Amino acid sequence: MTESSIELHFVSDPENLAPVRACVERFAGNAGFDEEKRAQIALAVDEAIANSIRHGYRGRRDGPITLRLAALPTGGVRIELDDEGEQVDIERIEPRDLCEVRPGGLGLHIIRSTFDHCDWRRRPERGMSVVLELPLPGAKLAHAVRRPRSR
Amino acid sequence: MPQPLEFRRDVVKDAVVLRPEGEIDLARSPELRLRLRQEVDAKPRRLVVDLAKVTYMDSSGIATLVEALTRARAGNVSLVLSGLQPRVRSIFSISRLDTVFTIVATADDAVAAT
Repeated sequence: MTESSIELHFVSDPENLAPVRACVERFAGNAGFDEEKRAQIALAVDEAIANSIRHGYRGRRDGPITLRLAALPTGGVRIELDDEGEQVDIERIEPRDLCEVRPGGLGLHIIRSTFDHCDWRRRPERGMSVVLELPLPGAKLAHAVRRPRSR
Repeated sequence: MPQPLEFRRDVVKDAVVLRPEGEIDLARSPELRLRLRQEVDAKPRRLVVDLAKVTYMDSSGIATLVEALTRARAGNVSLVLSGLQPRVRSIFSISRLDTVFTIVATADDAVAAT
């Protein structure tokens, strides 16, 4: 059976990462991605949730997170992640220079390397929302691709 | 429920071989960080971190290994990674850290090189 959309509600406890990424990987597989790509999609979503836990909730384990997984009409996946944590300056959402060898800062690079479309927004009242889209090979996104180049 | 990270530890010649088992993500990387600090601070000549039984790693795991590498270099400990599964190797490639670490195929290779 192919799921066309799934919505998950969970809290910002790192223990939730493993079951959530298993769900994401299965969804991406059902959407038609090969094993390597669905593993990368699950990793990138893990990174987006981890960013929400670390930066949005500053390690708090009880912050609400909503994850919506949907199939793109033209083939592929659309993933939307909402939290109610601290809002960040969108201009500061940049991956770090990979020439630097230091801990941290790789998550954004992984997210942007994986998805063709990444869009971070401040939610109207509080929290952040990120929309990630990846078409299947050969399919196209229905809108203009906005993918800032990593340095 | 995710399982805690488990470790096997062997001493072969002058190398300590640490073998974590499980998935290393934001929930598990603090356990790895603590264990690596203990091992590096004991100053073996060589510390081999065998990742053959690590089935998943995210950037928090990578950050933990980078931190251990920095600490090892400062303490004149040679840190070697071995046994990377394809899924784990790919995150090293994505983050372009596969050239920063010494990575060998197996723990035996790492020990033989001492």
